[in-house]
Amino acid sequence: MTIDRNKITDLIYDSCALLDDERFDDYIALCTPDFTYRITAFSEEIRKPMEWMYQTRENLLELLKAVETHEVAVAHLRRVASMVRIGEAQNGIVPVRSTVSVYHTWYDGDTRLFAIGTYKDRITTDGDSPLLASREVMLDTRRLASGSHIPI
Amino acid sequence: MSRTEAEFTRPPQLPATHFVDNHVYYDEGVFAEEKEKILSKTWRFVLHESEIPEVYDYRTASVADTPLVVARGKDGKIRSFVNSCSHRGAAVLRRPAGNLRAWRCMYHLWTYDPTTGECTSRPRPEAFDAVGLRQEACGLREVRTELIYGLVFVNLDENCMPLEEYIGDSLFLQREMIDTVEMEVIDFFELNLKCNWKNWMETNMDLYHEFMHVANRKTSLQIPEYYTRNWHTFPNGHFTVDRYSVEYNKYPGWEDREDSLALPGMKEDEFQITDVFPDITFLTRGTVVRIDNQIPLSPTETLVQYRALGIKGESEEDRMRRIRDYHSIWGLFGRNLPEDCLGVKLQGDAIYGGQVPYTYWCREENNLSQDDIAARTWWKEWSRLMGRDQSQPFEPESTVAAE
Repeated sequence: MTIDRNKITDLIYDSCALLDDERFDDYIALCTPDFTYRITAFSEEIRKPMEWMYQTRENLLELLKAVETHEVAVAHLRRVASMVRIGEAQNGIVPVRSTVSVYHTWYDGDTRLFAIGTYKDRITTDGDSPLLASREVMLDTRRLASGSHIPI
Repeated sequence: MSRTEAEFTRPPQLPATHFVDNHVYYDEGVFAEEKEKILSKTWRFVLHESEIPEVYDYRTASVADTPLVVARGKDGKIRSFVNSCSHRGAAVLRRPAGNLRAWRCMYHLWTYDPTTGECTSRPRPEAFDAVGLRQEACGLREVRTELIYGLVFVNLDENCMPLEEYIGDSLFLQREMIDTVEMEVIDFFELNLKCNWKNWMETNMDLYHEFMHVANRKTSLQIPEYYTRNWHTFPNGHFTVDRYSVEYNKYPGWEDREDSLALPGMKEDEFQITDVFPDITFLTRGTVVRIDNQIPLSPTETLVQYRALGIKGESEEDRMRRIRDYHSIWGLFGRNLPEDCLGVKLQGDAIYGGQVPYTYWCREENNLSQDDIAARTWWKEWSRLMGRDQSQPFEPESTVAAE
């Protein structure tokens, strides 16, 4: 099977940009019906892997829709995905890893690094456009300056 | 009607116990004095014993700017030492946790025994012996360490009262859930908040702030019992509030909690808070215990540590459900914690510039949940230890401190 690398990198770009713009319905439209989303990290302190978020597509959409009702602690997050490595497809799933840096810009224009980590994606290429079957955000950063209602 | 400058800057017409002079949140001198009189003189929580389960396990910590290493010795006992080489002061252990049979400083290779803190070797020791600096005089400083219900506390003051006496009865609502089954830390993270450490502590004793939380407005604040709980106060500045049952299924995407996951003595949907002076909060939501403790870095910067406790040895499925319960509301990406972060940030933005003189802790409601009695209890202990009244901290004689 030939993989259209441009379509896959476009998907990763869109997944960042749509969350940046808080276009949550459009973000969810990039995901397969059985999509799962996780945020993980390894704790050097308790010497265990940790899972900080787990959502199905349906639950993630519920939470994202509720964001506008909350007092959101971050003004604007910018997700920068780079260093994209597209793996070999197996059973219609392409594993893709990329480095993600997230920057937080407060209302006054002050920008700080929010977190860095790795997107570990599984992408389907069955249809016209590739879709996210799952995303695991493996964070290097474990000491943050704030929590966030909007995932990364 | 808005207030004039004179009205804004004069002390509130309230009892001295019912307001705070905001200098106490940002003044460098007050912060230095807090480190001397409170943060290094009271019992400070550093870890749960499950974090160092094996002989030679260690975990680093920081108390009142003092770097510590807490370790389980070969005799199984937990001790704490200052994590600084006796020779040139470098931190001996630089990872937050690990297991080592000997601690060797990377700078000049001095080595220490993790059980006793004794210095066990110094390369080419003759030149030290020549000036009378004997190896047996070069051990690490040991720090007083005691446990209660698996919680490990240290106190930099060797002459302090025993931990059990300090805690008293304040953990009576926590005890059954954390001390009748074996518990372990199942999650850990930190927030580096641009706030005074007391502002974070206040979020955990101010239930009136819960209107800020959308999740609480949907699941808790519509319940009459929420408002009729009582605060209980204890000697040494501790307090706890009665439980109530949360209606989790009222928040979009949430389900009721699993009763099979309820901690001993708790219903799965119950919520309870206990604060231990000066900086520890135990928050329990039926299936999981959260512990906050703080490492003040400057008057306006605080590292807050968050631990979740679950039941040791449970199935992987139960563990994951418990962790997901925890993170759904209290995680970095949960529903409530980001709002608490925003609350203290906005306080700091407005107060720390020095032009907003006073804030209130004046609600009186027969010690019920949204009465400010908890904060007033905390501040009374702060005033006693500091010898300063929080409402007029720079007056020579304090009425509160004199009580």
